[in-house]
Amino acid sequence: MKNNNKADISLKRVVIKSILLFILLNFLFIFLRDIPYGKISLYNIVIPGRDRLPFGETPLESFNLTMSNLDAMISSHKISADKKTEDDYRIIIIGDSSIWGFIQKPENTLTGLLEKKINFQCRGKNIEVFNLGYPSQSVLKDLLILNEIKPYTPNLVVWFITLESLISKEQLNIPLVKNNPLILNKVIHDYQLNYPPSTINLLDYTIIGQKRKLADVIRLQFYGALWAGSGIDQVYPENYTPAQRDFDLDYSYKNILVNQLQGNDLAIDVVQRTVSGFPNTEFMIINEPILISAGKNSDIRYNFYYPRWAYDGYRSIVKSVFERSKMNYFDFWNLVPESEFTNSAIHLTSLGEQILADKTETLIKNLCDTLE
Amino acid sequence: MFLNQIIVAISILLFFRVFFWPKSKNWLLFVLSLIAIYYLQPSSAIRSLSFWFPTLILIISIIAWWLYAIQEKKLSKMDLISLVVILAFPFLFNLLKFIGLSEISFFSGTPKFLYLLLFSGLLILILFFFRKKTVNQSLVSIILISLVVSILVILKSQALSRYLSILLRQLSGQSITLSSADDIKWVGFSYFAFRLIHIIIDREGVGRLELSLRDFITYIVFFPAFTSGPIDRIERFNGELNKVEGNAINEDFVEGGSRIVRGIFQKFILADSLALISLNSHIAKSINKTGWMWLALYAYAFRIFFDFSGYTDIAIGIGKLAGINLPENFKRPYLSKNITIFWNNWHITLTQWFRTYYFNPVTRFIRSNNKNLSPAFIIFFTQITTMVLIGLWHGINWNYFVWGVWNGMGLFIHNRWSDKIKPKISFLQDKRLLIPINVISVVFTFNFTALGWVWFSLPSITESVLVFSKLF
Repeated sequence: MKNNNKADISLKRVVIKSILLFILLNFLFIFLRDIPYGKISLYNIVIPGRDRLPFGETPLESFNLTMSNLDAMISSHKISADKKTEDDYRIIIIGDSSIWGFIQKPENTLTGLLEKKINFQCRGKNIEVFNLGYPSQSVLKDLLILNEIKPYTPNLVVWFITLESLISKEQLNIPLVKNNPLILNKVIHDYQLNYPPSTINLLDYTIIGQKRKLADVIRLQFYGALWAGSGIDQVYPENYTPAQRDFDLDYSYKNILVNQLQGNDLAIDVVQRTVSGFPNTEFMIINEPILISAGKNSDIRYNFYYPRWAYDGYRSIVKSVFERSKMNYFDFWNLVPESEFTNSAIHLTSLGEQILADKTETLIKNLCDTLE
Repeated sequence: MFLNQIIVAISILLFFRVFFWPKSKNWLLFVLSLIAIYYLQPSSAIRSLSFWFPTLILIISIIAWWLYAIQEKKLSKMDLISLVVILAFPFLFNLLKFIGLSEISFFSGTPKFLYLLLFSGLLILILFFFRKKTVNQSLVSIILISLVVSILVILKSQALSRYLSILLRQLSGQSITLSSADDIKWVGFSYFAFRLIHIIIDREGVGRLELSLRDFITYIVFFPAFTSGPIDRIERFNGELNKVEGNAINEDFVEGGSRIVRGIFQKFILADSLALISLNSHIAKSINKTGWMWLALYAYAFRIFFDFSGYTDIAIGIGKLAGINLPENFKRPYLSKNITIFWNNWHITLTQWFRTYYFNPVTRFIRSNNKNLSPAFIIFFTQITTMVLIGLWHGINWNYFVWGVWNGMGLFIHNRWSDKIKPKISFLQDKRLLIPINVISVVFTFNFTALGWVWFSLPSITESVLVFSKLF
């Protein structure tokens, strides 16, 4: 027989207690905001680490997803697999989507090719190459990633930049930067960057505020199993729309007056301060190859991104600044023929990647020889 | 049901529990179920189809009630009110258009006023005709069963659904170039068919149920169980509907709440997460490592369990909030020691239905008409065909056919094993080995079932064979 007294529960009390507990848990989560829960990962333990950082707009097909939890992203990468030994020489390749390797399988990206090609040692150590490229153009975004992998003590950072990644006023608008205000503020402080600290809204750190990030961290673990089983981390389309070769009569660039690109339009200081922030790491700064079109109005524009005046101005400013500060700077802007670009003015075909890898390998070899 | 629909249902029932319980319980469930069948019906590209599908369920139900359940073969005052409520719905939906609520999906499919009037008049005429005439109940039963089975076959066949789409598009003056099987999504029809066939066959030569129209319709379209079961028996359901209710907050209420929470966790967290890595066509082609393929298969096995069992928990939980105890549908099936126990614990009400209305009568029929046939052959035939029918109920496709054969064969082999071989193997009777034997049996049964899901989860035999080649 049922005990009615026992079952006679006040609905009001149940509801009030549930709501209070829910609110309490949410606020408790705010106090735990500095705990890097993204570092709890199955990658490199149960699932092999990824060859490149997670990114994917069609997760069910690419077994990958775009997310903003930097800890989880780095934890899923093979760089966080194990500690470096005395015999290892770690090279980080960093940059935008062309370095990440759009439309290229991991083994055909610049990093993948370098891993296969490099058969020499550096300072008597075995070379390991890691792809830390990520599909958005911002050197501040690159700094956030580099800062996260600092504990993995890179020996050499090969940093691919371009004009788009250096536009100063757009550095804070990149989703990965915008969605990591706590890390951003720490980086701004530690590297003494000339950007205002991001406003922290504590409500963003409740369970409700973090639910998308939490779900993404869990989803990343699930997709890891499929990545491990298939080696797929991107949709590789057989057909794609080729990068634009013909252009309108358009001189405009980012609301900057024609021929008026100045050094302070560019976030060169971010690159300089990053290099200073890694005193035990060598840096190689490379201006990445771009598509140089021969199509309509190509006398005005190199490609979809750049009018000639802006890009030429950028090359001239960057060259002089980096030479003045004695940084290892190399300009590969016209290294790859126009035919070896895929769906954008920076994404390369397999042959394009090969050309870039050959040249980069030579630079690394030269650097290693110099160091020896 | 989607999460928002579940939350709406729970909110209404909670409101009712707090303010009106237990008065008007049956009326509330009747009206809620009527609303739900229109609300849950997805919109269709074919004009007014999202209105006519639920409406047809109601029309067939009213005819069935008149034939099998009407009290003393006359309309009581309550039945008249119920009929008016049912007929009022389409008109109400139509009127809502005038106050700007036509954007809400389930109102939008209502046909024009004139058609509604014609339909209502026709329905009243049919009922009037049945009232005056003494109908041949057996003949009408055969017609009704044939009708619902035929509709079921059309709904489960992509090709036939497409033909129906073409036909309906022609009738409504729409372009047939866009016709597709997706136009014909009749939510809840399978379970409606099961309930109706149960009533028709059980009532044959037995007499009427003597139920009010309100309670009969509530049984047929009871909203928590309308789309995915469980399939209750009408006598039991009627007992639940008319039992004496206690306090608004009682053990049923508390248990209902905990079942809903458990169900939501299983369905929307566990199942939806596992869905990311569950076996499907893309994963079948992409994964090329044995271990990870097994993982995708196990993920599918648990995903389908948590999805369905979770939904059943939600349905049972909402049922409890509504004062109705629905039958259980899953009892730890993956811990079954053999495939026979598995099928007694998986989708219990469906397998019971097929056992009652197909397996048992067919077995009896074959035994009494073919005395020379060996019992083993009869078991083989009935088990295979039962499981094939259950398979084809999911869709008329080769993959479901093979899945049915796979499970039918499993049931038959187990039947022979436990009847003929197991008793002769002495060490299997050793009680000291009971635990290891049970563990091995559970693992074997689970894996046999999981491998069966390969056929079920993939649309083509070729893909299933590819997966098997990667698994072994």
